[in-house]
Order: sequence, then structure tokens, then C-alpha cells
Amino acid sequence: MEEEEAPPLAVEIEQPVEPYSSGAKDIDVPVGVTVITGYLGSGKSTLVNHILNTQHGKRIAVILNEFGEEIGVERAMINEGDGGALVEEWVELANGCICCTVKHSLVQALEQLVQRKERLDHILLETTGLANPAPLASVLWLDDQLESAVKLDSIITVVDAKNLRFQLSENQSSSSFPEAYLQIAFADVVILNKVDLVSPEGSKDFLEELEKEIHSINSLASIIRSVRSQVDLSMILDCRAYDATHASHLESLLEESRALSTQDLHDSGVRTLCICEQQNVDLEKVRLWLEEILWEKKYDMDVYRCKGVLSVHSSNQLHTLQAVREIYEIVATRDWKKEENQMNKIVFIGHNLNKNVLAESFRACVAC
Amino acid sequence: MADVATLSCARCSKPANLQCPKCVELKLPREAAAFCTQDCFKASWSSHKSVHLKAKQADLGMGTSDSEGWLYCLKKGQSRTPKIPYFDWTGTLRPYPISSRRMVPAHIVLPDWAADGIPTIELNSDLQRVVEIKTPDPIERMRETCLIARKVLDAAAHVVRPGITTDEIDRVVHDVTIAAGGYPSPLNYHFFPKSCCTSVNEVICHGIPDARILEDGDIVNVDVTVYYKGVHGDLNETYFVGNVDEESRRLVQCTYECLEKAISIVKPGMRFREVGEVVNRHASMSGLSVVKSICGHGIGELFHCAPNIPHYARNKAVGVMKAGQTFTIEPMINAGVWRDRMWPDGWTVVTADGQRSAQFEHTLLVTETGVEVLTARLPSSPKVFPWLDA
Repeated sequence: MEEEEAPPLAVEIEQPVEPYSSGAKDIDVPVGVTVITGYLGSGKSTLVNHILNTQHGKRIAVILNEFGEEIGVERAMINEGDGGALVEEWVELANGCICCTVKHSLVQALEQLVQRKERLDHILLETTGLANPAPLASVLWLDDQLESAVKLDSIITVVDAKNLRFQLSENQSSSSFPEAYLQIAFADVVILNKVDLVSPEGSKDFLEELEKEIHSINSLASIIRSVRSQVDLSMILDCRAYDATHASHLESLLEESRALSTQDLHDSGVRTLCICEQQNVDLEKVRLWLEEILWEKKYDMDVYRCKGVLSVHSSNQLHTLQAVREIYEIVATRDWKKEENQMNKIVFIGHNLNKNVLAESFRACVAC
Repeated sequence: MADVATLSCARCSKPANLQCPKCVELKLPREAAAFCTQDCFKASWSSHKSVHLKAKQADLGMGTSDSEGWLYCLKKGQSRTPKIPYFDWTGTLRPYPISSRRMVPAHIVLPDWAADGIPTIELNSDLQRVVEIKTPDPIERMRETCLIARKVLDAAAHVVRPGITTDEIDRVVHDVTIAAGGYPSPLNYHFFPKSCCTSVNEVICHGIPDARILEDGDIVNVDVTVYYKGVHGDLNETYFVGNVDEESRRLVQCTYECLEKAISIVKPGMRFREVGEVVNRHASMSGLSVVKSICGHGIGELFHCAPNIPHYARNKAVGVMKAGQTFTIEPMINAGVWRDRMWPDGWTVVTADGQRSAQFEHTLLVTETGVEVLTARLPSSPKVFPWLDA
């Protein structure tokens, strides 16, 4: 077994990298992670390249998620800051006893990456062929208590203005939907791309109609129009969509004029609905009510996302509610302001939703 | 963190800031692998590379080691090395070489990982997402298996004393398990090299039994899982080695109480996330912290499955307890900070500040009215906990 080859290049001594740890380096502010979904050809990869190659002064790592977990590694491309070249890194997924660990191997790998690099401003997770980003969201939406180096920032989907209608109307069986529905339903931001390819003459109306369709599925998502995926980074990074205390989400929910419930425009039945209740509610009853819907699948409704504000009995604090599939949390965030109308408002995005049933069952949570 | 400036070139002794990439890959000691320039490295290459050869030979068991095959564990158990690996140890404990793999007689029914190290069935099972409600037959088998696991742990507890190595504890666990007709589940689970976990002092969990001799004043946790009649039973306890200081006694007793209090709330309808609230409350009241990275788990035909039960407060664990479910609760409580690190062996979890950690674990069955502790202590269990045996 003699090694006849020339000596390899010696490497700089660096701090040892541990395959797993919770706190080798103190992280003040967790690095945001954005999940990017979208059909092949939607402009998703162009968006990623745009982010990597534009001079924006931010150091961003893109995880390409090409191999999945079987191979045990992911490829990451990182732009080394202003004018820097792209650096390729390999992120090793900790294989092995993940079953009794709280953090998924992907999270551990992302934390490793953050610890290895001197400064990382954001991480993008580009998914390939992923219909349903919910499992990824569940894995990345960590408990605050874990004080992780990474934090789920938002889920973004890139859709193709020219082909979206067609993609939404693709034939489906009763129990599954075209990917496009799920991607839109779970998105916090929808990038409506290739708007230039829509024929100019009726394009204004056409695009408005498209946006209405997108909002009919998910009226909470913000929509950004783009050409060749050129998007202002500040609009898609640092969304803090899973941060219970983040102000802009509360404001949009409290805005009374906005009609959030949508009509069922498609056979799919994936839509947004909003219920309101003026009277204070009993927090424990609300938890049980929500758990029956999310965990026991009472009423046979399939809830994808849920966001709300609650006016809780014997508390002067506004409570926020957030859920992705079965994972939910209710957090007291701040005091109600004097001028605010203290009320409950909950938005559901899902399939087979029944407004009457939800409104009535929620009313039973009112504090006696 | 180690001071890089103190490393000197293996060839000329000038300050070194480069290292051999092969040594990094093989996780060999830095001192022999540091060089000041590529030129010094090149010049040493022909003699230096024999270090890699020796490490590879040790890997293949062709050892030039003179301690009869006792080597340090690396890569989660997939390789061995004759020299203690580099690490910035958080406390005073160090790994010691481990003995060679223990044999299991042919008549013992093996789980799928016994052969290739990978729990394939478990990794692909639906039970990772759905919590099983067990029928009377598997429940009865679990009662039997958990009873065996309890007796195995008690046998280990009997031999804990200053002067014994954790490897000898492992031999007792291994032999008693086999004698009862069971398989020691940890053996080769994701390549884990031994039949139980022994976690001393600042080790939080998953310590690997090795040649270290237990000292008077140590605390040691022994974690046993037995596979018998197609199901697993999992439990652990922390023991005193000789006379331990007051702080350690309080730590161990508080940890025991955390588990006791958590078990007292188990009943149908109780949310899994509530376990963390109870454990955290009791630990905090005693000024101790709760380990967050490792959680309780479902158990049955699989070693680890749903549900995941964190031991810290304000967690988002999904689901409520229902009659017929079996799972473990296994709080790890630290005297210092909650954060943890991992040793180069890929298994041993230690406290980030080197202070001590204790743990207790039971396998539980949710009944119609409450809980049945399947791995409960027996009248014959050794009386090693002063607060229990007044």
C-alpha cells in the first residue's frame, strides 16, 4: 500500500469542524434560511444565479439540494462578497442516529456551514422537484429555545406568468393537486416571473387576473412581478415570516378592510378563508380547537397554513397564531394598542375548508 | 479553542500554520501534521506519510499496536486509530481505547443493523411519522423485554465501583443480555461499537465503554436497551462511584425527580410538549439546565420512532398521548450550561463547559387511566439511591 504520489497541498490550519454540536461558536443573530421552490423553467435557477452574482454586498450561500439525503452531502455555492468569485462548498449531512436528536441532519449541516464561514448573511435552499415544501418547513421551523444558528425566514415560489394558468389546470385526481397549488399555498412570497412574455395588449388585465388567482389560493402571500427573475433582494430576504413577533404580519392581519376570504375558483378546493370573532377567547379552548383540526383532522379539513391574531381573555397582550401542517404555536407578542380593535382573526389556507364549521366551532372558544 | 500559534513545524520547529490534509481526513494528531511551509511539508513527505500507513493498518486491524487491538474509536464506530484524536476537550475526561467487538451467539435473533450497521427498516418506516397504538400482544412482549432490560441494568449497577472500567460494565451488560436470550440493541446500531452506553461525569449521553477506570467521586450513567421477541426495552440510570461530592448528589437526585415528575403527568390526552414544561420547571428551580439536543422517543418494534419528546420548555412537539402508546422519557440535566458538543468519535456528547451531567430513563406505556412504567425498579434492584432507600 505504498503511496508513491507527490505530497498533496498542505492546508491552512483552521478550527476543528464538528459534525454536530449546539454551540461551538456564539451566534448573536441566527442566519435566515429561505426555501425557494418552483417548476423547472419558472426562472427559479435564474433567480438563484441573480442573487449569487449581483453586487449587493451580502454574503449568501445557496444549497443546491441536488442529491437528497441518500448521498449524504449537499453542494453549496457561496458568493464571497463584493466582486468575489463563487466558492463551492460541500455540506455533509450527519448520517446516523438522527432519531433521538431534535435537529434534523439538514439543520445540523446548515449550522455547520454558518460556523465554518466567517460571515454569512443568508442561506437559500433551492429545492428541485419538490411539490410540497411543508416537510422542509417543519424541519427548519425550529423552537426558539434551541437558539439555533439558523432560522427559517420564508418560503418563496417562482411561477411562470406565461404557463401558470396551464399548470393550475393540469389534470388531477381527487386526492392530489398539481404542484403549482401546493407551492403557492405554502409560499410567503410568490415571484410572478416572465411578465414580459405575456403579450402586451391585454397584459395589464391578464396579470391582474393571474394575481387574483394566486391570491384566491393564498391571500396572505405577497406577489412580486419580475422579468428574468430580477428581483430587489431587500424584498425577498429578511421576511421573518415565521417570527411570531414580526410586525408587518400582524399589521396585515389586523387590517380590517382587506377581504381575505376567497371564493372557490377552482375544482381544486385549495383556498384561503378567514374567520373573525369579536369577543375574547379562552386560550386553552383555542388550543384544543386548533389541535382537533390540525392533529385529529376533525371535520376532514386539510390545513396547509394558518395565521392569526387572538384576543385572549384576561390578557392585555395580543397573541399570534401560526401553523404549518400539524406544527403550530401561539405566542403572546405585545400589548394591544389603545386604538386597535381587539378582536380575533384567523386565516386558513387549505383544502376542503368549510367557513361555517370553522366560524361556529371557533365561537365555542369564546370565554364564558 | 486550541491556540494555533503553539503548533510548530514537524520538520524545523518554526511556528506552523499549515497541516497535512491527509492527517486532517484521518483525524490524526495535529502535532505530527503541522508544517510551516509547503516546502518543509514536501521535504518531510516521504517519512511523514508512514503516519497515514500506520493509521490505515490500524483501521484494517493489521495493528502494530501493542495493546492487543485496543484502539480509539472514530467516525461513529466505523474506524479506529491508535493515537488519541485531537480535540479541545471541554472537561478533564478523555477517551480511552476500546476493546474489540463482542460476539453474539447464533441462536440470538438479530435486528437488521447487527449485520451492516444500518437500521434500514427503521429509517424507512411509517412509524417515524405516525405514533403507533399497540395491541395487547406487542404490549405483553414489551413487558417481558423491559423486565429483561431492567435486570440487565441492575446487573450492571451491581458492578459499578471505583477500580472497574466501563468496558467491564459493557461486558456484564452484553453477557447478561445474551444469557437472557436477547440482543443488546446498541451494538452496531449506526455502527455503535459496544452493547451499552456508559456516560461519565461531563458526558451527557452515548458514551462508549472503554479502558478508563472509574474513580472514586465519578458519576456514571449506564444506558441499556434489549431486543427480545421482536421489541426493544430502553432504560438508564446514573450511579455514584464511591463517594461523590454534594453537588453531584444534588444533580443526580434532581434528575431522578425530573423523570419522576414527568412520568406522573403521563395519561391519555396529555400533550407530548407538556413533558418539557415539567422537566424544565423542576430543573430550573434547582438552578440546573436541561439538555435540548436529545429527546425521548417512541419505541417498540423499532428502537427509535415517533413521537419525538423534547425535554425543554416551549417546544412545538405535535400530538397527545393515547392509550397503547409506548415511548421513553429520558431527561439529561446539566450542572452548568445546557449546550453540548460532540467528541471526535462521533457519538460521545459532552457538556460545552465540562461540568457534569446526569440522566435517567424509563420506557412507558400509556394506559386508559394513566401510565405503566415498563422498566420500573424491582424489589431486587440494588439500593444505590440514598433518597429512595431511607
